[in-house]
Amino acid sequence: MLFSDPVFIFRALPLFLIIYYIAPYKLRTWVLFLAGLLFYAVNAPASLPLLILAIVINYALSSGTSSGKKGIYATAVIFNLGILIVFKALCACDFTLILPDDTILKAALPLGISFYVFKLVSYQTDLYTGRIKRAAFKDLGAYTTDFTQIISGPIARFSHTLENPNRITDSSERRISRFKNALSHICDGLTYFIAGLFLKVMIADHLSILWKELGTIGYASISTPLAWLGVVIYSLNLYFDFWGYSLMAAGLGVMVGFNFVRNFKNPYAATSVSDFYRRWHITLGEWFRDYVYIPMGGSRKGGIRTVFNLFTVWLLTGIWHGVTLNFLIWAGILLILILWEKFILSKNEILFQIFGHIHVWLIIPLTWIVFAMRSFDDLKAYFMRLIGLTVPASVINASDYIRVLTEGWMYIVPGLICLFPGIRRSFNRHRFGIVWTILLFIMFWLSVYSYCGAVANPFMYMSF
Amino acid sequence: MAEHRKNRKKRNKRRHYALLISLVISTLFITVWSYFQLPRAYASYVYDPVETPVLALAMQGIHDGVYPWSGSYASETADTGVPAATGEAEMIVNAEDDTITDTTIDIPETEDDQKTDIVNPEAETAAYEDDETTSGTESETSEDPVAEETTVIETGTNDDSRLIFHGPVDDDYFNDALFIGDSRMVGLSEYCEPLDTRADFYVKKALTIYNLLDGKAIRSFDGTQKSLWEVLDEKQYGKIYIMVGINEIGVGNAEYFRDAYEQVVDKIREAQPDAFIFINSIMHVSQSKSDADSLYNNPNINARNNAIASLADNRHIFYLNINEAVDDENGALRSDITFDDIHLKGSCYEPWHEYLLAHGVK
Repeated sequence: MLFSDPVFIFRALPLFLIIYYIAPYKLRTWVLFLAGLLFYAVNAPASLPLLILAIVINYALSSGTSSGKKGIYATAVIFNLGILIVFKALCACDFTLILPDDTILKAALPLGISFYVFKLVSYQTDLYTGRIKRAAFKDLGAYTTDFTQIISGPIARFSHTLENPNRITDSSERRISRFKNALSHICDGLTYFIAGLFLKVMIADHLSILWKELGTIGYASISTPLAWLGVVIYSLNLYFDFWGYSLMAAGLGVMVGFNFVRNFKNPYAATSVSDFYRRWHITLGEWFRDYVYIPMGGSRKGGIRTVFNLFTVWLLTGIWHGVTLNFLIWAGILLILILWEKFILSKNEILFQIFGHIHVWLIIPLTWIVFAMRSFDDLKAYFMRLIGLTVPASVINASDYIRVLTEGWMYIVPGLICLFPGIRRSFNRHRFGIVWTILLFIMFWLSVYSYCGAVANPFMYMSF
Repeated sequence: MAEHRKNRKKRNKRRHYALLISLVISTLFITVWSYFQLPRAYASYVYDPVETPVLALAMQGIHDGVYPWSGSYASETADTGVPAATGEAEMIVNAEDDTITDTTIDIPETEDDQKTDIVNPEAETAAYEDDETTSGTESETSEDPVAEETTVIETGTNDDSRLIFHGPVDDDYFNDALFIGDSRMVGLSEYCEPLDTRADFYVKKALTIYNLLDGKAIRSFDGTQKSLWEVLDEKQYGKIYIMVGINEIGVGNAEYFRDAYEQVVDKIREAQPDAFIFINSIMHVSQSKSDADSLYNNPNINARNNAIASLADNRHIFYLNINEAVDDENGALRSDITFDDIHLKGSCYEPWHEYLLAHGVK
């Protein structure tokens, strides 16, 4: 059940919010915890025991961590990263287990493991360094299983979510003002949620269909203009898919009283690759900064150490996305670009500005193609088509891009428009104004319509 | 001043709630509307109350242009009393039982006998093998009013003068051909140059048999918006090839689909009395897709293919099981010639082309 699923929007979410805000304060965190478990169980029942195990073990170790015992803290980190690494490794080598009764068990990455493991590591570290106090079991459970973040992040910190003044957790206020307070959280979160829903369903999901058309044709058989159009389509698709999702997640967080968690900040307005990755998937970038790069010394220990630290961060970033060659190549290219910017380009301001924009607008979109291609043959074919080389045994229709454009301009153009920071600024300032309210209303129903309007509705996006 | 600020704050608060309130009201309205229309305009939709909120039906209805006042198929289905969802469910079960033999003919229900199983036991014996070119099995489907004309499904060469498939032919055979179809046909037009340069293609992604029947205007090969019937009025064709059916698998059951198909074929016959009509089987999906999908799977496709195969009279109307050209040994689309499990890759339309070349009729 995804956030854009009508079952979630029209059933699960309202039901949850009602129970959550009706429940007595003391039980509210439990409601959140249980909702998280339930949400996880609906989406990935087989992985639920592992999640619960992780919470229990982290809770058991947390008393040692909070009293500054290094060994226990190390155990916690090793345990958390260990389960992540084991599952990544099992998946990387396509591990299958055949039981005596012929059932085949195929290794699959437990849902959201990359996200909740990182959240737990950050919790243990913050605890060890004394930035936060030890959480009660229900708090740790609610933080880890938080349904707004369990599937694909954002990787929020404990101090940003559960420990924050926005949450209504005591009964000191009058009932009517508490009700209003809850309602205003919901209304506030709703605006983000709808904006995200629209970006995800109306823009990203449609762009994704266009992108799949390139695969349907076969990367070897696309024309060169279509290959370049594909670069634009996939880059936009990835951005709005993830940004839209993150906005929905953050909006849901606001509805339950968390602080808004910002995961994207106009990445394509960046001036360099390093700047881009300060604006893209911010919670992941900050996690690596705070728990890897800075503890290793950051850039304060001389050039060679900086290179090594950056190498480590990007190697881990690549592995975090997946243990396949394409992710390592992708991370490698980015590392080279960042080093080239940091140590060479930065010496000349004009060159830095020129190259910085070329990197953001040309090279980064090309790196997404590397990111997208799981097979090396596909990657090779795609780049051959980009520079106009013909792949053997292919049939190319030179005007294929026209069909994709006529089918897709109405998603590509709004996508490009939404790259402009001004749109977001206007939204942030005026989202309760009459114009945005009407827009959001339309965006909501358009998205719902798009999600369930296609032929034969269980498989909404299917039309062949 | 303070008063002013207070008022503004109050107004802002009210604005704050405007979106939530309008969404709640519109949701309630659409939900009530959908419930009301559930047995009426939306009767033909596959609807599972557990899987989808009822308001999804209204969305689907708007998408399909099904309104209470438009009186399209939905109401017709309601008349025959086949609740589409149940029909579909039975179909899936029955089809799955027959995955190996793949030969069941679905006997359409008669009006006064709605509760009989879709697969009639007699049909098992009257099954025909549409995969084998040597057999000339008879399929007696006496309960089917149309079947009386089409009792012999002739796919073999062991018959005499009424030899049916003359093939092979060369590409110029398609000079007076019209191709009608969904995205699979779109692919054929784009990646099979010999056909594209010779024949006319009236094709569109997501085209359904119901669109054709309705006379929905789509962008025709001359660049203008036309219904099929306008196209057929303008020019006489020698051959007409059709492939639709995958998109509408969620609408109605196989019999319902066949009825619409039959009406389309009849109307084409009327408009083009001299043309040979080739019903292309709905192309299979790959095994992995078929296994994972409760709707777009090969048993469902086979059920519909069996239904439309019976429309062939082998004089004017022919059934081409093009799946022979693209299937693997399990009767699913070969995984090496598709990327998305549904369509052929751009470089893989040749087997279909060759199959058409091998099955010309003169």
